[in-house]
Amino acid sequence: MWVNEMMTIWLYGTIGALLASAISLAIWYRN
Amino acid sequence: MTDARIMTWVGLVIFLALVAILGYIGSKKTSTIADFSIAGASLGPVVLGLAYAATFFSASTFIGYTGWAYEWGFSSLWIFLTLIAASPLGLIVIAKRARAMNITQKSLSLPDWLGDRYDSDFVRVGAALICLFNIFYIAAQFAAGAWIFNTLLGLPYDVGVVFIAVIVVAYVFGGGSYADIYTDAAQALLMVIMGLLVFFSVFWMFDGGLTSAMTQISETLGERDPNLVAVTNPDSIVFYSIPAIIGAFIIQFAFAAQPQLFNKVLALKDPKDMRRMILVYIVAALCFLLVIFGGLYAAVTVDVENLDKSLLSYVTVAFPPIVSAFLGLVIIAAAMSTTDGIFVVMSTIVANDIYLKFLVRRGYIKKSQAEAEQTALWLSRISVIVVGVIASLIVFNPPESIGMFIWIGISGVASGTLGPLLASLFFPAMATRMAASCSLVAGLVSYLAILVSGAIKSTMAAGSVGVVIGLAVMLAVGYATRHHLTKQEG
Repeated sequence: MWVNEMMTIWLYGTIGALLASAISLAIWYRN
Repeated sequence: MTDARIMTWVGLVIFLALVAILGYIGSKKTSTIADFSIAGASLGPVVLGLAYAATFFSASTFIGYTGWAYEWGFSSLWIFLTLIAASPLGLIVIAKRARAMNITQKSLSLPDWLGDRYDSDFVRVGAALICLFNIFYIAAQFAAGAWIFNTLLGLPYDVGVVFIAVIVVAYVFGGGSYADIYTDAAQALLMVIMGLLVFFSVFWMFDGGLTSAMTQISETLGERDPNLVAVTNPDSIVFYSIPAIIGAFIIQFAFAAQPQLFNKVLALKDPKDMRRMILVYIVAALCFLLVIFGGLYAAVTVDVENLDKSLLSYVTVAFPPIVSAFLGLVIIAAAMSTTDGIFVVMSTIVANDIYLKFLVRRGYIKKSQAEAEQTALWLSRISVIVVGVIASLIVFNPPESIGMFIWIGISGVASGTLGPLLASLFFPAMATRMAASCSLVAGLVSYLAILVSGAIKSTMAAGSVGVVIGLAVMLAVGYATRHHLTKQEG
């Protein structure tokens, strides 16, 4: 756990969200 | 006069000069209603990505969301997560197909797009009327701007309302969406700098690195009240339970299809650039959102009686006066960059969606095509003034909660329009005119019923229920009437 439960959710959630956006853009928006 | 006040005045003058120049450039480029509404579908991905971000995030991000973090602690970070996860996803899902379909459809706004797609006046005019809800959104931003003028410059609140209304009306009146988008991109850069400054102030305001600083904050808040460090906080007006958090995710997803954002998707010149536009938006959004940490830092460093003042008080403590002045400008920029986009949409709705595409096309008003086009451009500009006056009047008595006000608009629009939009993009076989009309009415009515009855505490969650009901009705009626899909509709 990093700092507290919510900060841990925030850290992994943010990384996950950015990865998900990057992957969906890379796949779906391929020119 | 204090140093901060002098610097705010100087900064404001420079900022307004920049806005005036960009507005002037915009006005030189605006000669048709398509120029006014979607910048003639001629702009590049970086400018539009920044403009999209600046329009998406308003003064509420800097004042309201930091206030939530100050008052309700770590659970308020859910707003960060919903905005960085659900909103880009909504844009990714909607943008590509909507822009691609508009190559042949050539619509100028969300109601116009829906009206053209379903070939239905009821859908066009219904969606147009629903979008007028967003006058509350404009009003809330005027209130936020006036509040900043009052706090930082000592201007009386009502003078501040008139001041910000006149500035925005002036440049949108002249430059339409060109001015809207150029000024938004400049405003986004200011907002990025502010988000980063506030987030990284942790390094000189607290001992040790990020982990040790956040641990200190967490321990101090936890001793004050364990709810402040919990994942949900029962005292919070937004993140008090898991269903409320899910509701927030749903409504942020729907937010991406708000009409003032949708027209930026339509303004992109080359649909192949959509990926770059979305990437620019996500990076900018991430930087803006870091400002929410300022509310947590404020909770352990300053004591304010009004939540909305928490970030401003923190910045006064953590930075030299010039940064307080800069924050004031950023909040005004954030308010303006959201308001101008909604102005453009509202005037497009009146001039194009209702006047040109409904009243003239159906023969209720007899005019030649060229005459009608000219009248529409003027009508769009006059609408800007009318909307500005009405929005100012709404907030002449300051609203109790600015955040509440904006969600009345956003949730209302999303409840009525998301069903028809998503179905037309992803379930074309069920996207019938009847289903779109029913979804429009059912989504809106259910949202209003929840809002008026007060059955759900969070306005975001109330909006998400409206959105889900609108979607369900769209699919159910669409399935039942799928055999009635005419050749024209499909």
